[in-house]
Amino acid sequence: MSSRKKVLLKVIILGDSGVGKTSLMNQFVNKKFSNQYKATIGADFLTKEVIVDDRIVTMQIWDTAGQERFQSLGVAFYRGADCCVLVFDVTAPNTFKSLESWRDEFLIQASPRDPDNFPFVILGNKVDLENRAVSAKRAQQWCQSKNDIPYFETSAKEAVNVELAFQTIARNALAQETEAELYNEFPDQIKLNANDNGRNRDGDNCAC
Amino acid sequence: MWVKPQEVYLKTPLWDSDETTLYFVLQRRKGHGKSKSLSSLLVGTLDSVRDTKPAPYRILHQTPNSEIYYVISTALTEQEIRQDWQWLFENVSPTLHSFDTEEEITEFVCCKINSIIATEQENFTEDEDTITYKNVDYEFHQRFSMPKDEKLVCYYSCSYWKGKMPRQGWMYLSVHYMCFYSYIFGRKTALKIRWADVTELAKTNSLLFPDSIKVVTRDGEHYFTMFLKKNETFALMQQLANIAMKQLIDDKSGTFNIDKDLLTKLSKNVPKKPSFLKRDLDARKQSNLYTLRFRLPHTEKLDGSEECTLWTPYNKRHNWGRLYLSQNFICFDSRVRHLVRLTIPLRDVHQVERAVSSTSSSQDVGSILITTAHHTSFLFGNISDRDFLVHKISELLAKLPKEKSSRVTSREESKWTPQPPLMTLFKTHQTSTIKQIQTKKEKQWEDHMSEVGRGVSMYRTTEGSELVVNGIPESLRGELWSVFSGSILQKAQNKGLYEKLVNEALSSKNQANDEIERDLHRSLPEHPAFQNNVGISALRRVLCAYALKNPTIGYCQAMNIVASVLLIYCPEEQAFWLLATICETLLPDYYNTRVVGALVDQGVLDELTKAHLPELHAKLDELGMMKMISLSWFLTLFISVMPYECAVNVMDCFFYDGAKVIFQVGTHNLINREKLLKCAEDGQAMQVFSEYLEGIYNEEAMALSTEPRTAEKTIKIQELVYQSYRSFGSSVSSECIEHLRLKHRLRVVRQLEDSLEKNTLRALQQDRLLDANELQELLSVIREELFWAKRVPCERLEAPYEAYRLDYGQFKTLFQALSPWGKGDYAEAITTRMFKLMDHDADGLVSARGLSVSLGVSCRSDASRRLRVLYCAHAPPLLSDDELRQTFTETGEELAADAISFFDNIDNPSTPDAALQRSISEVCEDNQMDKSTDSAYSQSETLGDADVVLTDLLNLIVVRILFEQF
Repeated sequence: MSSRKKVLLKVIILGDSGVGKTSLMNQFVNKKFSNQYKATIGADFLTKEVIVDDRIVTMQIWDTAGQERFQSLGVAFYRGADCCVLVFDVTAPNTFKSLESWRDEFLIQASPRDPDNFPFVILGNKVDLENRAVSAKRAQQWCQSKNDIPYFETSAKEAVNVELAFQTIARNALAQETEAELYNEFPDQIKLNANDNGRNRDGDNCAC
Repeated sequence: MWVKPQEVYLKTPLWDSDETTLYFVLQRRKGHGKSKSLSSLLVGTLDSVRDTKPAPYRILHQTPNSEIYYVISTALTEQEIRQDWQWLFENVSPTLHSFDTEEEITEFVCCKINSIIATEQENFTEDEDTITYKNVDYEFHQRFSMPKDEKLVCYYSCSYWKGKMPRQGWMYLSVHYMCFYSYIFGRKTALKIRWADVTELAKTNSLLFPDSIKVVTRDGEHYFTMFLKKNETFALMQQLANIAMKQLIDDKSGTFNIDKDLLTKLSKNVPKKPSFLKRDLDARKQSNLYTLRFRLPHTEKLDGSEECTLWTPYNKRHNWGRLYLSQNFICFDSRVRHLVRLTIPLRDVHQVERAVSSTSSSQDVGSILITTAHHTSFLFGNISDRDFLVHKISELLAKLPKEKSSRVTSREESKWTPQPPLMTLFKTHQTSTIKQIQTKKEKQWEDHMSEVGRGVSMYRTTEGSELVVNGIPESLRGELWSVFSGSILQKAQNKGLYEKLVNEALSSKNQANDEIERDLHRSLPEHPAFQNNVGISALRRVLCAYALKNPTIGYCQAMNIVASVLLIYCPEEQAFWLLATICETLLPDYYNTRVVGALVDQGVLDELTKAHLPELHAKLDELGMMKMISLSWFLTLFISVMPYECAVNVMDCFFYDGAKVIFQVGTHNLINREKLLKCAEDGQAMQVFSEYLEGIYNEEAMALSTEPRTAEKTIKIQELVYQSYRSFGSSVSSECIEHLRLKHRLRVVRQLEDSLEKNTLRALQQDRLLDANELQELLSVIREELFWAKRVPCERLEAPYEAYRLDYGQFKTLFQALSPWGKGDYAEAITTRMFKLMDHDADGLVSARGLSVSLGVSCRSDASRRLRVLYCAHAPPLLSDDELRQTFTETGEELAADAISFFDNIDNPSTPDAALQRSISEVCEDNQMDKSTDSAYSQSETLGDADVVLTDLLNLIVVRILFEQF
């Protein structure tokens, strides 16, 4: 299979203004935290090579502007994303409430092939702060209700869980990518069905 | 001169044919021109003896198989007749072949000529709103069933292409519509297009539609040809369409006011036009260009202009140019571009006098001398009507509003003091070389200003422009930015406003302030001034005050970045007014809630790139890049993409030359990017850009960032700015940008409208009451209804459908027309009830969703749900207990109690109060409803058939109660 060819994963980070999207991205890519970032206007991006299951993949991480008036402009970036990271601030309940609409908006604008199984990852950022207002349980519950989205509690400032979260992001994105490749390179129905069957069986297991 | 087509016979011996085409003949009367034959002499004599004296030139229309000819034009000179001939040749001839019969051709030509005559007569009338105009206005309203207050602006004769046939008729341009009407060959053609629906206007010249104006709407394309004044027509169409768009952007009510000031204008050089409105629009356009050119406040209205000379003392010369006059300013611009430009605020004018020349040199003829309060004099010469001008200026001076000297609030009240330029408080380290460079620059500027003056009324010269391109020294930035941008005028006109705004803004709590708070530390964090509370507080004050001053913008990210840079160089209040000037004049609509201006300018940059760098444009287009890269260029004036010390140099030019600088530098950034052409995907291209931009350096100023530079040096900022001026300075002019903005605004606004509609439809579909097509139609009816109420969809609030809000009158019209509940004796009562039910915030307005739910429930849902809605609409708190009792009979009351308990049972999990809650969600949330009704049914199943019967009975009873109540 084409597994040895260089893989490029496109990851989009979304979330309200000021939840720490830029900081998370920089913590992951440059391993440093700074309180000297300007508010992101339009979009910014960084790349990093990571190893996932012995494969070298390049992660292309797109950081977007969070203010509502920029929301409709972000759609250009959504296309072709392999994973979408939704960030909220655990000290600001409003940013948690917006997750739903960010998710919906992404699904509508990016219109992935299989919206129900598109990989999302939720990050509850700023856990280093004292004045926490969204409990881990509440966030977990929401994630479970949305088809079991992986949830991580992070601190970009103290590098808590950032590496782990992005590893998961990379892995899930890669799975998505591989599936897309399968879809593109093997139009053979049997292959596809085999794959689908596998998933269906999993689904059955869950339901039981 | 065109004449009413008249039948004649060609075979008259008195005429020579000069030119002949298939359908037209140009003739010269014998005895005129070169020919000196005997017969021409004879005819000449004949004409002079007889009293008829026909015009010596004429054009005839003929068809090959007809014996009859029509005179359609006559002229006294050959030049004149040639003009008409040329016009026919270019406009009419190419289209005639599309007719089937010769009769049709003749009818068409005659009709065309007649209409031209009508138009020309129109132009002779000096009075506005003439009888003819009034007739046309009446006709226009009749033919297109326009409401009375729809104002006709102008009308033009032209042809509309319906299929392959041109239809001769009239184009009517009104404030909200363009219409076309023709009645020819017994067929009527009427077309009515709303400006707000126009997506593109263009002048085209294709084989199919020669020399035409193309109008594109969502539904299709329309072509109009054969205009007498195509350019004027097109310009007016463009202007009207843009006014419509601006209304959509600004979310203001669509009323169009006739400007009273303009009507009372005294100037003599105002062209007379057939309607007040047309004249008003023309004047408005002129004024826009004028304020744009001289960076004056938007409200300034051009009064008139006059050719004259300006004496410039620094080079002892008289420079030809044009003097402009408006309520608050006298301006001058040289005929040679960029040679000299001048702005004199009238408030500064001390004295205006006729200059008496000591030397009687011819240059001093008709001169006036204007002396300002700062004892500076300006000498204008060669004024043709000096007395009129002096009179006019004194008149304007007399009308100047008196300055209010009262201070708005006393200083003690304020808990804050405005900061001086932050760079004076927080000095950044500078090496000695840099200090030397800065001092040298300061010296250059001091020298320059000693020649051309300082402040608003300094002469703007070529030399000055060159100094700006090299970068303004840090110490002078604040002053010069304010002068060049014109913000200093705003500050002067609004004394004390800033202080008042700050006091009010800081004491209020709102969303904008929260958003600002979050971004204060994310503006210019690398500068020491913003690592300190002094700078942060100043930034907070400026941003909050502006959000209060201009609520249509409020606060938009990127404003924080721009404002923080302004605060470094300017005193606080000045920084505020600079920000205001940027948001309102230099970058119009950029920061509003939909960032429309920036989107428009992205389109403009895209078009400029296409024109100047086609190869690269194709590549970027393929990568889908233009949209991504340029947004931050526009919104932050490059501050967020270039190193700070370089971006400020671009800002120097931006304040001096306006928005064109961003385009110029933006386009230049794309040049020579061979690397870009090699990029395979968008990320790579983004990287190429950011490496290039981050690599720009400035050797004449200290880098602000203390972190070591990682980016490889690419180009010196001075070089970049200079190159951009050289390559694009003249081709990317302010006028050109303004023109392209008009075009792209149509497209952007339409896209935004479409996406709003799409989102609304999507949201409404979730109620699952009406299907997509029904909703689509409903929404278009709502839009129509809102349009006639002169209200446009307002800004998106919590949900897209909130943008369309109907008052009771509008709701009633639509509900009664569409719902089965809107019929019968109780229609009025039930409509009122439904409206109240849907108006959950009791503000007298119901959103599109409210209407769609009311209609959906009444038309589509099952009986129990309909009942439930009816019940909710008639239960407290919508209806008070007293109201309920009044209408109830004794038994009714009992039954009502039963009904209440019935519905309470259905709604088991929630409390009775909740069941009566007057929120829409209560009525229409599918899940909840389904669940409750399901549970009711499942209950009845388990309880047995008897209960089902009982339920039905209860339903019937409730129906009875409700109807008794009406």
